[in-house]
Amino acid sequence: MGPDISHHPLAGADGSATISSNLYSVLAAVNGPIEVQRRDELPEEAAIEVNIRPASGVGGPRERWLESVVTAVLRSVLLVHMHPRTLIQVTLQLTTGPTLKLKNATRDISVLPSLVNAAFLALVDGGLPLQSTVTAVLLAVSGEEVISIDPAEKELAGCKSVHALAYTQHGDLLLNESAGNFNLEVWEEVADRAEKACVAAVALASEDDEMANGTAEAAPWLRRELEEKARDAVAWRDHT
Amino acid sequence: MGPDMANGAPTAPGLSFPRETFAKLTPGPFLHAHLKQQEPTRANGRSPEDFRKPTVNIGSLTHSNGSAVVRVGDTAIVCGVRAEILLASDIPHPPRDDVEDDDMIEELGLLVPNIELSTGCSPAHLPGNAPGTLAQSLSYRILSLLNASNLVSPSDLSIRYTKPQTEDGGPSEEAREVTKAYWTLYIDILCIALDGNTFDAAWAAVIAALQSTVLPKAWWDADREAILCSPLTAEAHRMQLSGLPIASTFAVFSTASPLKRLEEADSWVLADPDSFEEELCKENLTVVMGTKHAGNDGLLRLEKTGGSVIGKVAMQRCVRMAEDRWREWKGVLGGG
Amino acid sequence: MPHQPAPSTNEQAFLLSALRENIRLDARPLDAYRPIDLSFPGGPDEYGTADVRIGKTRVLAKISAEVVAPYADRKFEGVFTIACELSPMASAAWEVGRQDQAEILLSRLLEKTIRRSGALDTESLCIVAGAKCFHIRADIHVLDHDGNLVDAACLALIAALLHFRRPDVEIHGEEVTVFPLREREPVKLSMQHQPFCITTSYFDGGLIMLQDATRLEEACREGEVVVSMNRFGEVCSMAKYGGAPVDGLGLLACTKAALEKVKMLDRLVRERLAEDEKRRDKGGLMKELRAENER
Repeated sequence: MGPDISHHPLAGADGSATISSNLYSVLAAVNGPIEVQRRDELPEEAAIEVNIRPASGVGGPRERWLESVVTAVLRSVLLVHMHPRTLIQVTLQLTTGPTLKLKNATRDISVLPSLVNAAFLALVDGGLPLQSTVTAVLLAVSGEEVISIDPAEKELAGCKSVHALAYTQHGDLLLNESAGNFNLEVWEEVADRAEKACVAAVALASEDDEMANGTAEAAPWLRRELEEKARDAVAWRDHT
Repeated sequence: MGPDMANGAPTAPGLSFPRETFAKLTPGPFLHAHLKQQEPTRANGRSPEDFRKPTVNIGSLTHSNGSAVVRVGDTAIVCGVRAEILLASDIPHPPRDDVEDDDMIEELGLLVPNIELSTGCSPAHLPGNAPGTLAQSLSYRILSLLNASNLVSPSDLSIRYTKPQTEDGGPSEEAREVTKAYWTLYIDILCIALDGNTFDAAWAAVIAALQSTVLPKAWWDADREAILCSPLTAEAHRMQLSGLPIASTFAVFSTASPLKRLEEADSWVLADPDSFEEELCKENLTVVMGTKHAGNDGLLRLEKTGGSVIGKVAMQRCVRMAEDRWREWKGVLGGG
Repeated sequence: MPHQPAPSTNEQAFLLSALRENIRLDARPLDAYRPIDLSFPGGPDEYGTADVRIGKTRVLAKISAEVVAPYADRKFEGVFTIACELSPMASAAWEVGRQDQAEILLSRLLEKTIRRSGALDTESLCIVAGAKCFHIRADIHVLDHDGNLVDAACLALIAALLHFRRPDVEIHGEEVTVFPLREREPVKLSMQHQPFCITTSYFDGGLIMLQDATRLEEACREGEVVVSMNRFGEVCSMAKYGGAPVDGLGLLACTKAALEKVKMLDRLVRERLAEDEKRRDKGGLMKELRAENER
């Protein structure tokens, strides 16, 4: 049910989180709002800098592209006007990845949901002002037009198209990266499933929902994690 | 006109500035004022669904194997394709010959696009700088699309050699065909003028340049143990490209902000944004369409980031617009 | 934020006055290390990642291998490179793309200790002389900085090298086959010896010497001596980059103290490797216990 998450693993960074799914493990660290270089300074909003570090090797154009995508998503989520002329620095370290050989386009898109989710959790941990939640999900469409959410490595290796989508808690589409061979009808079905899964991840769980729809897709994993984190943060009050 | 000074008595200056001054001082409200009219128009006079008309010139660079110049409005991009030989023996971990590999081009990196923005093409890109995040990001998107679209077929880039049967070899020893070398295509994309929407124009330039690319006839000479090429143009062959993937980019201008909810704000999807609009729009969508035929469903890529205006409904509209644009490009480029 | 503010005068004075009474701020003895945690994350088939925690300092080392052509002047050897790029994750003072002094020193120390001392036998990485060899690439990621990065990075790197398995190779005359990890069991790297770095920080002109400094202690110290040695007491390198002068006997004392710590680290690495092997080999153990005949 949901990926494996640990809160605040690092002492040095303002906010940090690790997220481990069946494909990737990402460690995210956030520093901010901090001092910004003159050349990157924006007069009315905070500048956002995302650094993606692969597990092996130094980053190249692939990492620059991923950084630009994640930056654009985070800009829609952060309340940047609350900290003008500062910098919010997000560093994402990939620690493990899939071992099977994947096509480059599939590999690039499959890492995006883990990166976005990890960055969001680190921002929450760092106490940065956010205007909405963002949940990202990965879907793969097989040759027989079967759509699977959070596909396993084998499904990714043989898929016809791969899609990474991110939604806010209200169902607004913040990110859509789709690659492969597909048509509009397939995409619409993919978008529907993704929206349901993302909205369900932060939805208020009602008793009937839990009983009726016990599938992994409908589980509010993000809400549970954040609620647990909030409870732990005030636990000291109960002990004193 | 300016205040009237002819009669000597200075009159209070009017609050009407020329259009250019408004655009410079408050670009956002300037564009908003244009769009919120009855018939939404953009500052450049186009309607929100209008793309700019493209023009293509091919073969202008004589020293490259293929070249094209693409103009879309004031954006002008030159693309040159240079072919170089990569010997199979130089590859540390070559792919096996008996395995049919569609991913060979991607694995060996036989297509090497590089986009150069630091040419002075716009005030934001001064010449001589190292490629920034934008240039690297664009280069990577083009590389990713080139490999994923299977535009170039591996057989076009392989130089094969049939090993003759050995004299003392038995009937079981058959003539084996091996790949002795590969053509590596260095695709250099230079922006000479930038007025928004670099990706669409650059991608079209790549397609046009590849369409015009001519590779000389090459073979493996067993005695000299080297690859020889024929200088005769009659023996050279054109690349056989499969499909015609075309990119269409849209930008979203919105007055929404954290202080104003999306439902109360106005948003417009603008096709083929120019640089003025690009600076004001945070949300972007690129639709890459290919030829629809058996085995190919049409859409190759959808890339949307930066905001939440485009949902399912707007995406449908944009895909329709991308289909029309695909037909327009097909008329200009041919192929597909 | 391109530079880390120095600790306040009060903090420095407090730290020094405590040290003069032989008290460290976290009540450790002067020669004690903080609790060290070493683990090997990754799936059952993934080798070569080591996660080291010394107190709050956290370093991740990852080893990867690929087949390349060897250097022209070293035809019979493989290639071994160590990449250590500090990121803003561990400290907001470090910028991407700009080489901090800490990064340069760390890279240099790791190079001297592990590469130049021949800890990894590069000749064993050769496949076909002059044509093919393995390129072993070590990436060091500093995740959290609370002092003593050098010791932690070296420990992580050695542990990762001992843990890593490279693909198996078969040579039939001219033809070379590199088996992917799923086809054949990968092979351990050939290590000649395992050097570790022990950093000794000193205060008051060498009168106070302590090991495993925290970030605050590092900021207040007068200088440091880094001794790299293996468990047999063989010194690979000694580094003292500037700082206040220390007399020769002080250096000997550092070296002697280092040997004990090196033995401790070596024991730790072996223990953890053995534990990890047992954990991963669960499948193998079961295979051996089966009575069925494969044929």
